[in-house]
Amino acid sequence: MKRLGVLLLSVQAAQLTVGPGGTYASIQAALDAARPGDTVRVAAGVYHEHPVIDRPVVLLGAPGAVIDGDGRGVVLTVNAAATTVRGFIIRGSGANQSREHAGILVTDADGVIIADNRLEDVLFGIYLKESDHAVVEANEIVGKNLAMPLRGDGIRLWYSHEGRLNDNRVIRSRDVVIWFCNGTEVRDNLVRDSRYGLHYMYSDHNRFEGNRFIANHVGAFIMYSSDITFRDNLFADARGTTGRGLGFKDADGITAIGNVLVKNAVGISIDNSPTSVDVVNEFRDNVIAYNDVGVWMLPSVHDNHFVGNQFIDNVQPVGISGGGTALANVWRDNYWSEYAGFDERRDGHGDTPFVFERLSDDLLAKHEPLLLFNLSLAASTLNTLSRVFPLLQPQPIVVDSLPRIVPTLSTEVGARHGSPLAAAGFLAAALVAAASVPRLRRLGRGKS
Amino acid sequence: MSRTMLFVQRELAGSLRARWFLAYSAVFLAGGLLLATFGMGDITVYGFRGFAKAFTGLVHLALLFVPLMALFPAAAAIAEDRESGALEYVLAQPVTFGEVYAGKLGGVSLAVLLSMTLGFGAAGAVAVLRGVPPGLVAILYAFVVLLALVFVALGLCFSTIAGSRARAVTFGILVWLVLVALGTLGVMVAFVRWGLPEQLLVTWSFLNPVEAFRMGVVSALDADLSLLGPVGARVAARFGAAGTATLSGLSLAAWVALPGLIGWRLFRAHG
Repeated sequence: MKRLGVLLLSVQAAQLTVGPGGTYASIQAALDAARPGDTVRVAAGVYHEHPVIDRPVVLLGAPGAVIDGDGRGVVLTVNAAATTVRGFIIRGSGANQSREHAGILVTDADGVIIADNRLEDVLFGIYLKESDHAVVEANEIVGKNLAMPLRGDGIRLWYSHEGRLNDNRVIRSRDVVIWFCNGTEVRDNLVRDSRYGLHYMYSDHNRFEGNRFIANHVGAFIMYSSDITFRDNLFADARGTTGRGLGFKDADGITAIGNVLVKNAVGISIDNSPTSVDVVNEFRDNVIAYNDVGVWMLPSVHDNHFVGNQFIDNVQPVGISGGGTALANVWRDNYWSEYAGFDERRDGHGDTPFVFERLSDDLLAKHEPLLLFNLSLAASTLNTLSRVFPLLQPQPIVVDSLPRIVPTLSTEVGARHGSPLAAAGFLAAALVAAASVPRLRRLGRGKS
Repeated sequence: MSRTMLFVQRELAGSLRARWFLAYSAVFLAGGLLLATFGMGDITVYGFRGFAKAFTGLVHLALLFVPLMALFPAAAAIAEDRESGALEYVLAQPVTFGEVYAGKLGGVSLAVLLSMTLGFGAAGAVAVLRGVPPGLVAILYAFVVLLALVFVALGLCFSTIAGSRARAVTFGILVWLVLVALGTLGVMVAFVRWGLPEQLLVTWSFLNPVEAFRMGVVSALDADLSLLGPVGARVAARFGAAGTATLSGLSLAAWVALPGLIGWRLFRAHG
């Protein structure tokens, strides 16, 4: 009914103009004069003010329209449902975390559209509190240049259900937070150089598709939630001891399909998920490549089904915290670059199961400080010893009964990524060394 | 030409003539090329390529071969001459102990450096063509050179102490075994059994030249050392990647200088 009212009002909507040649000198003055459903058009220029929208309007910024908060408080506040804010550069929020200074703060306002804005030098970017059915689309948010603990969240959804976050770019923020929000769709966003690309709790029935989480401390971490779908997302370059591409804690009914997890400290981290009885988490057709640990689990984790994934050149494909096995989960039809079997049957699968066991991994998992000796010859010696003396063999971490024999990823020729000039330099050094050997061998002969 | 340079030439040529040295160099070259060519997959994922495993292979190859390549000629350098009586003959000439020692040190070092440059140059060219950052290969090469010099200095020191070439080589191999694997395994066992403090693990990692080499190259590969677990990350947080690499380099340099100096003093005293 509320929406119908807004629709009727919009039929008679007026256009109010702000700025040079416009009716109003300030945005707030136009907003105060506007009736529900009106459109406020803001011309190019810098507006040093902190507008508050308390009735449903469409606030449109012309190219070059800047709302500057001058480093104080919240820059733009939206307290009215069915409001649209589009086309602005919004900058200079305050920097007080306890007061949650934001570029755009939306409170108790359903059906808001925030689109095509650029927010810069803001503590929090776009903050929605108890505002359902929001659309946050094609915004670019660059946080304040502060140390990580002092930053705010690029986007925060708080008790805001059925929202849509599409095509946004969040750079240098703390987190993108989604807490207590059901039915959210997050699509084609980029989050980079932040702490949590996605910090997610107590939110069910949500969908993440085509997003890119790059160079964050953690790509995405899902906690205390159920029925979450991740499809075709990229989680890359989450480094450090806390570095996780995608993490789950107490999460049920996860479906992760076609995601790429590459060059993270840990690709996928699973803690007590699924947590409910008779629930399965499904990981299918994902690429888990070049991570320090491909999949990391707590020993008690069970009922995660890894089927058809590609584990490529992870330093350790699967690791168990504190040692143990991952055999309470399902591993089938995955590609493992460590697999050294054959395919005599020509069915695309190895004739023998893939069994992953390494004494060094087992020891290092049980005594984490010893990871300091990761990649050492001593660690390799341990593995060799366990092969020579089966008595020392640990329990397998993973057994894949039907491993794929080749990856299904398309390949590229490595040379295209190389540096021919540097390669020529190394080659020239080698050639000079090789050419000088015969002459140097002769040198001594005549004199001794 | 100075007398030292003549000794350098003689030692260099002698090392390069040794068949085992050439064989080692050939195996090192072939191993490096194989790892660089086949160690890295052709798969590029969203522009990311993985070479940690190939890089680790190169590191292990270096740890296995480089110390031995350096130890054998260095351990033979003085002990062999002493056994054959050539040392007595040489020292009867108007030359100083320092010139002979410096010549042997320089000659063996140059021979090993040539072999390293050949092996790493060729493997590095392939690795760089296949996407490994040139800086990473250059850092690995620099650390390999330092590691080689460490074992040249150690070998020469043993050569001075030992009565025969066989003893010097045996002692060198024992020390290599301890530094490369047994020592670290011992530290690991001690940690598990008695719970050594983390600081001791870190100290061992920087004091042992082989582990210092590993710390240095891993810090180039993984700046936050997360590959080396929580203790590695704390090392990175405290010293930074450059600091870790510098500490490793300094440790290796000390391992070159100390045995070199001790060897020279012993040579001068007992030569």
